[in-house]
This record gives sequence, C-alpha cells and structure tokens, in this order.
Amino acid sequence: MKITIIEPKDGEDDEIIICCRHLDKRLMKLIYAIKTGENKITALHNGNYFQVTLEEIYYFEAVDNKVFLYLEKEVYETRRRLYELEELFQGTDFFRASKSCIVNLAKVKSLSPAFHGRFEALMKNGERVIISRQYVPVLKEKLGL
Amino acid sequence: MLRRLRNMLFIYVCVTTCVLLVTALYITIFWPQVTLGVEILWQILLVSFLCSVINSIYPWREVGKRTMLFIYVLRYVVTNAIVLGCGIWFGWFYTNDLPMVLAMLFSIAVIFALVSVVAWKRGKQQAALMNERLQVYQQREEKV
Repeated sequence: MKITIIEPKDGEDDEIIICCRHLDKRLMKLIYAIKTGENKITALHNGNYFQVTLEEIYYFEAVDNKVFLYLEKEVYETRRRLYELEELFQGTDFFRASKSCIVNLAKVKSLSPAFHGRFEALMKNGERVIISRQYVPVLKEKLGL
Repeated sequence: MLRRLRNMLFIYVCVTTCVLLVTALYITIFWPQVTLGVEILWQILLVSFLCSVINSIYPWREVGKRTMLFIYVLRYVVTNAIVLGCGIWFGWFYTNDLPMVLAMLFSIAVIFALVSVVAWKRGKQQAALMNERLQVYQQREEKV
C-alpha cells in the first residue's frame, strides 16, 4: 500500500483521505484505529480505570442506563453509550445483537435458533446471548448471507 | 418488509398443505357421502390465509421471552377462533356435535404443532448455514 503525506495549506484542517477500490476488513480496522486513536477502550472495574483491548471483549450490554463490557470472566463498565459503541465499531467484528447488546462475532462459538425467529449465540466463554429477530438480518449480512 | 412477506408466504404454504391433508381426513370421517363444490377450495385458501397472517405478525419492537410466549399462546387462541368461526360460517361442522367440534380442535392443535415444528426446523437449517459462515468468517479474521 502506497502512503502519501501531503502538508495542508495554511488554514486547512488536517485530513486523512483513503484512496481505495473497496473497503476491506484490513482498511476498516485501520479506519477504526485512526478514529479511536488506538484499539482500546477505557473501562471501570472495582473503582479503577483500565484499558481493555477490543480482542478481549466478548460483548457489551446495557443494563439500567449503564453499559457493561464482558470479557472472558470479568465484567467492566464503560461510560460510553451503546449507540456510540455501535457507531464506533462499525465495520469491525462487533454487531448489534439486540436493543441492549453488541456482540463480538469473533467470540461467538456457535449459533442456534431460539423462540420465534430469534437466535442464540453461544459465546466462547460459555455465556449465551440472544440475537433478536430485528437484528438477525444484520448478522446474516455480516456473515455474507 | 420483504422478509416478513417471505416468512408469511412460507407459513401460508405450510398451513395450506396441512389444512388440505386434515380436511381430506375430516371429510372422509365426518362427511363421507356429501358432494362438495369448488367453494371448499376457496374456503380452505381463505382460512389458511387468515391463519398465516395472524401467525406472521410480530411486534416491531423488541420483546422479552415472557411476552414472546404470551404472543405464541395468543396466536394459538386466535387461530382457534378463526378456524372455528369460519367453520361455523361455512357449515363445516355442527356446534352441537361434540365429536366434530373435538375433531376440529384436535386438527387445529396438530396443524399448529406441525407448522411450529417446520418453522423450528427451518431455523435450525438457517443456524447451520450461519455456523458454517461463522467458521469461515473467524478463519478469515485470524488471517487478517
């Protein structure tokens, strides 16, 4: 990949232009990294703040106006709203699974049908997350179906 | 919207097939001597359509497990009401003939169960396909 750095004229803002034929996974990750600064999210655990890498996160869940991120065993809290996270992680492994959940597809072990058009995702840590009927098409699209 | 229509069409095909089979059995048992007109076919298609519409309606907003179960039971009750109501209207059975009424109720239960099983199987097939794609997705991700 060719990288060209052009100095902006006086009064112009710094800008990153990506010139590509199509946005593939690698580029999407790169864009995400540029947008967020790094591949980490600040989260609260036992009163302390930690930097959690996205690869560690299994899913996000909103409960009583709080957003939690679930790792293999630990649960952290984040100050970000679920819709912000959804926007931020667009094009990554994360997808909206229900009104209150964003799931990391890379951490899904298997999928099975649940009641009335819903699906259940069995996570690699043994937890189960419901994918609601409204968001099944999102998942299918992500899987190329 | 298209997804909903496709789903309704799937249920309609299942329901019509089951209703046709059960009707054939029902007529053989309760109306063996009667000569039926072409209207019975339209009646079957209409009842199947009404049942399919009722069983294809899903709430737009997300609902919990208990609400889903409630909707499922409600659908069964409404399906019974439609079939029995239409049955009385079209003169399929006599309300004072208990075996006929029971046979109708039994038929509805069997068809409802059959369609639910078919829908479940369809979900399983979809899940199997999604699992295949999930593996491909994760393998591709690991390479990236």
